[in-house]
Amino acid sequence: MAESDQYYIDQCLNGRPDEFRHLVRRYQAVLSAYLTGRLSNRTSAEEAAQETFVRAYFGLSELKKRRSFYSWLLGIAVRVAKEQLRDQKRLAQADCPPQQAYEEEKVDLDLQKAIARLPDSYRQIVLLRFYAGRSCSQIAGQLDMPLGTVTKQLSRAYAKLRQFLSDEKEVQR
Amino acid sequence: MNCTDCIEKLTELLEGLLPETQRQKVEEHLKDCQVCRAEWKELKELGKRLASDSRTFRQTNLEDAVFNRIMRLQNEKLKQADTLNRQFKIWRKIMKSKITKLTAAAVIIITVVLSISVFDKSVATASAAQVLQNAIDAVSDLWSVHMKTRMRTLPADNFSLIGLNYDFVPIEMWKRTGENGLVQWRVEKPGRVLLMDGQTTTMLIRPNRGVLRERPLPLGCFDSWSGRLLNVHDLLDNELQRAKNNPDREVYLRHQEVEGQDKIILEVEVAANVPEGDYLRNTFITGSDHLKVYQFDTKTKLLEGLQVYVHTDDDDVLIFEVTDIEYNMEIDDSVFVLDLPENMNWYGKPKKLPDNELYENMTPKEAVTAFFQACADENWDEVLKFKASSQIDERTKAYLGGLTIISIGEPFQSEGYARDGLGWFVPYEIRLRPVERNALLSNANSAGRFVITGWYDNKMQLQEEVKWLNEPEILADNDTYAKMSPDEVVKAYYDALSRLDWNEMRKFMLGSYIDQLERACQEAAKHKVDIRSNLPAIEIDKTFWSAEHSSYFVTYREFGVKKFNLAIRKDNPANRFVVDGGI
Repeated sequence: MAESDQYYIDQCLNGRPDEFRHLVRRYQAVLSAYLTGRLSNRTSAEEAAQETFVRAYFGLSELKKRRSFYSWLLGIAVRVAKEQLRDQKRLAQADCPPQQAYEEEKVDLDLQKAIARLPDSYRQIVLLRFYAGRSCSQIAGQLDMPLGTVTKQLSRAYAKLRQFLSDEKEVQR
Repeated sequence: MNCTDCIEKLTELLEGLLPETQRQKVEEHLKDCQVCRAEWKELKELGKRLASDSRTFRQTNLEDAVFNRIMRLQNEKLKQADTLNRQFKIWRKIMKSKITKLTAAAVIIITVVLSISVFDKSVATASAAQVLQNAIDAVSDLWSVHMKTRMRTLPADNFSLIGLNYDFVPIEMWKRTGENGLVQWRVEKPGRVLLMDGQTTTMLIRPNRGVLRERPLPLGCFDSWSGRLLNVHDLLDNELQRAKNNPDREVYLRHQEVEGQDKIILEVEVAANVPEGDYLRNTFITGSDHLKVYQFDTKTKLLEGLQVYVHTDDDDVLIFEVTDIEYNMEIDDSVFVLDLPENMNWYGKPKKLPDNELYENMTPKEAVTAFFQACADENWDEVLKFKASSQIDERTKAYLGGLTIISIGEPFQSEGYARDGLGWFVPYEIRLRPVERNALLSNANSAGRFVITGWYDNKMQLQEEVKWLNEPEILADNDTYAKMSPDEVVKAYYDALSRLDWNEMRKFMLGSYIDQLERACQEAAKHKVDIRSNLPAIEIDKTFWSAEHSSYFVTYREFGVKKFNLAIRKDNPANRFVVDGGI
């Protein structure tokens, strides 16, 4: 079985920084998906995801609750996304053309955006369930909540997602 | 089931988390209710959409890109931290460190910067000497200390002995200075206690051996490396002086967060005081290349921990650790009182004998030969002349009495043993008097073959009960073994032992017991014991049924042999060789 986030963090801080790889592997899809929703562009999203990991790496010794690495990491991603959006705005004002929206690969941008609009607690769970490939009971363990709460939150997240997605359809019409 | 209930359960249904009965109810409702069915269909579609999208993202691979960026940033930081680097020789330290076991240069750079990034946030200019001086100041008004430690040592052996493969043994230590200036201390592990009560110093080796000195001896007496740590002030001052006198010494200083508190970690490399290949290399901490890792609290400056790692060719082994230190607390008076058994066997320094000259003139080889010959003759008065104890206990008499000397080899010395070349190791090989033993065997198990269930001595007193919690396994060739009689099984067990064939032995004996035996043999081999020369031979006497045990007894004689090195020393007032330690 894979080790907990806390285990890898302890390893990193005890002189095995290379163990940080495991955390990158675990959350790279989660961050990319979330940031794609925020930045509407997968290339920028991957760039932002890298930046998020690098900041997390250097800030690791400051992380107080090592169990809460995942929420902390998402928090960094939120900040990075805000910064990038600000930069994009500046670039737009300076009359630079915005980067091409990512079209080549089949990315469900509507879905990403809907996920990005979810309240934090719902988003955390949806991302873990699908983009980190965790089961409901694993999520319950990681976030330290009862299994019933996880499925309830997931239900509500689904309802919200469907609502956001149909809003989006309306707009597109 | 109504629609609200049904819709509430859909996520659990999708996740496959519903118990069978509920699942059936939900599915029945879905059959009947078009609204819920539509809801279920949409939910499934959303699930599919998420799953399919996540598959795209799970192909993302940012690892290399992330690490390239980390490296780039770290190189920049490294340049900034170059001054610090030189100051603390971090580079040298890390390039050499086996603790971190980092080989790739890339990873080494990461470590350096990770250390520095934690490091430069506060006392960046602190040097090892300052940290030590602060810690010394912090214990300037120390009047009592209590330490809990653990060490890879033997429970009853001295407080300096280590073995890389030994299990950890707890060592607890106390020291206090009373208002009248009276110093008392106690150092204790399960099989041995050192106590200095202010007037006398006692060593008790449980159950009943002891040494008594009618004066206060300093900590560190009786081979007590760990005891010295109680002199916290001296310990730190010693490190400080060495740091001052030898600025090039390998010292590594860093910060580390431990349970939310900032700590200063000081690492000191120490070289062995015996040469490589010496007989006693790595049997004492001072006789090994080792790393001491001190931990100080940033706020209180107090020493809070110490770990000692011994460097070996392929690994670093944690050999000693202070797990808890308390300063300036009340210690109960009873700690400094030692309850001694009535039948104490006191060891003292050998006194001159009437015919002392005869013994003074013996060579190491002659002394060992005379000692074993006296054992062979069961002349215990003569044996005592080669011992520092007041009597020979019954166990030793039973063990060594009537032995036969096979050979006495050429004596050799170690720099780590006895001062001024007055200590020797003498190789010997002896045959012990045969011992009659009884093995208890039973085949009342699902494999239907005889296995050993206990050992009894010649007076049918239980020596060792063997508890099979699980049935013996049914072997591939179980029939062959099921046909063996109890005495054949005992014979086969000892035959397998003589070949060190552990797997074969497991067929007759509990696996965990064999594991223990195997580990003991491996450990002994590390101490240069020739295992095969120390294995007993046996002679079967008889087999008989015991109704009481519903099992068979096999009576046999065990012919033990012993081949090892005897430690002898003559650094005593009588100037003759005495046998050191046990055999």
